[in-house]
Amino acid sequence: MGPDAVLGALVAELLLETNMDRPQHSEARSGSIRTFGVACLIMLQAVTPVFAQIELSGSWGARNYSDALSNNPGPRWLPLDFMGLPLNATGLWRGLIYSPSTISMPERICSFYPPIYMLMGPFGLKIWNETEPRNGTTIAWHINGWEDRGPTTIWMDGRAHPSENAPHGMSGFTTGQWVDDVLTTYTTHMKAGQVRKSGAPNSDQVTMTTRYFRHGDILTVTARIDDPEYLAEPYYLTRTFQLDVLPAIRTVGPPCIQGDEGVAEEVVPHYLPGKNPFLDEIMKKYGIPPEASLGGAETMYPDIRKKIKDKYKAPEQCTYACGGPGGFPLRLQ
Amino acid sequence: MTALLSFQKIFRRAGLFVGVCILTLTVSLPLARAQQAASSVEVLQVRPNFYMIAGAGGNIAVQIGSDGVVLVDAGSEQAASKVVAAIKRITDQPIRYIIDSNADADHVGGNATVAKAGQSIFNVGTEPLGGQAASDMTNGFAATILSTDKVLMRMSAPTGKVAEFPRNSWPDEAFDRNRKYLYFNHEGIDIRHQPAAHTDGDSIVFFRASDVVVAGDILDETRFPVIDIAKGGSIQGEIDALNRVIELAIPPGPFSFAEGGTYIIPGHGRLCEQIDVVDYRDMVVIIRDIIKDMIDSGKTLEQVKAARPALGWEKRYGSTPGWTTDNFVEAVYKSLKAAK
Repeated sequence: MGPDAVLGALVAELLLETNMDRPQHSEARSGSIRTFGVACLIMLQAVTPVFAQIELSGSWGARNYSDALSNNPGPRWLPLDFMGLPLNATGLWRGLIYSPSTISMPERICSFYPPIYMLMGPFGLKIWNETEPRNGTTIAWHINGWEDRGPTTIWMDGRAHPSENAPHGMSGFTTGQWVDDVLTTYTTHMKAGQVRKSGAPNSDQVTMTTRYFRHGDILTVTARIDDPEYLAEPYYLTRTFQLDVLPAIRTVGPPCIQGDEGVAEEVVPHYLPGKNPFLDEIMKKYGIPPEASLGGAETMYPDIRKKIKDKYKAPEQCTYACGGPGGFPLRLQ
Repeated sequence: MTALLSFQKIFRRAGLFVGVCILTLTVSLPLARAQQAASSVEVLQVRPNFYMIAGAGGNIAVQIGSDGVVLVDAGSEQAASKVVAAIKRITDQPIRYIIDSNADADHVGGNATVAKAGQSIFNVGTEPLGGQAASDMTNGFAATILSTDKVLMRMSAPTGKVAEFPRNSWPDEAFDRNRKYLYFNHEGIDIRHQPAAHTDGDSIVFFRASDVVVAGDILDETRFPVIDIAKGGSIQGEIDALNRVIELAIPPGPFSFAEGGTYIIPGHGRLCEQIDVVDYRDMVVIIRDIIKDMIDSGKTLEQVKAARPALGWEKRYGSTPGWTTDNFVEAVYKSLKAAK
């Protein structure tokens, strides 16, 4: 019996017994009991999931306006571009030894990304709900998977997260509740991976709190990413989606066929500490010094500009990934 | 008087109601962030016929079928009775085999108690098969304890010496080859000796139909791998053994967005999939390469430790009492120096 059922049975029993006793008691006393019961109900509703306040079902096309510039139409990430990422010293250390060839390891070609990729990647969302067959309440919201991201199930039935000994899956484990009109979800049990394609790591201890705001045909999704291993502060990502009629987004992505991308089995590409050849890549291309390009919590805030103003020198001509559509360079005027 | 009793009755009910409200509030918290284990021993279902018992020392694998129960490891001596109780809660089949993945006390300490709670395959009905000889061979018709001969030698002792473990916990079926196999509960069970990984006596156990690999302490999700050089462990043997686990396991694909594939039960910590072992192997290889580079450039052990070659994983794996980052770095350093 769930908590709602327990409450219902108790209220029914209490009211029934109160009514039976009523001739012997004052109306005021039984009235105060009812008031107390209602108060308890209100208290419970404040902490119990409220089901399906807003309709989220449909195909939501990606509108890559913000925090999606690592994909079309924005530039690809350059190696060691950690700007605006609150990496701690350990996270930076991992980022600096990362080799882009890692993703060509036979074991990793089809391993892809944790659910954070919903906000990192360029793809739209297909969302639908699963209902309890007798009363129609939403048990779970489902968000499609893709070739490089697992499907997300958002459990709305109040179930607990699995134990620390349970496996960590490509999709993680997500529970949700409505807070006003915002679906708020919490994801644990994710796999280790990358929080940014430039090599910034996420650990398997990472968690994600995601909020889905619907404003008419626009869906804004924000995520707070907490990683006790590699982030000094929470990292926030935001993406925008728009309700599309056509084309309908599929519920699953294409299959992945493992090919040979040139890295032999049992070989682990990486750089030794202090020997990453791309350390000054951002400086050479954009004139941005390592104090900013290598990330850290302070690079999330505007004051970083003051710190680097004497070291930053804009290149005479931008030649790579200058923000134009499709990654075409924009020349400075 | 009647009014007073009724008043008390109302308040008693109200009190009950308050209590249940508080209880209900507690259990209905919508985003409970972790499932609390009912006791110190947790049973996780891996497959319909396969379980992992955690919290009893090392992890224990449990395969169940009409032939009986096969365990990989028995946990610690202290937790043995809880392990037996946990197994009885999930099946009434007798424990037939315990396969020891190594000779550490947190994996074999429960051998005697758990084996005694089981029943040898030489005792299949009301009449034991083989009489006294079989009884002597099977620890009194207890479940068979199977391991590499290295495990048997570490647990026992030559005549006149004191053994580390009591006799009834020693393996009674030991093998000295690279491979041993059983066909039990309608599936092949492939036991592969890894000669120099965590120790010199480690076994990887592959349950073919269940598609579960039990890695023992070759894979430890709670700490850096314990490379026990004094007991024959080595960094290269550890990497080789992790590669064997990866080789045996298959990830989800071509539908890569699906969950699952082969499950791997580590010696400690959470249930894994192939990519988790790849992550762990990569970590060990990278740290090995960093330390090797420093040795090649003439760095001493103290200089290597001071350079923090495992920094990227220290917080995740390096704070376990008894096996710290420094312990691991030192083991890798000594293993590499010894191999030169």
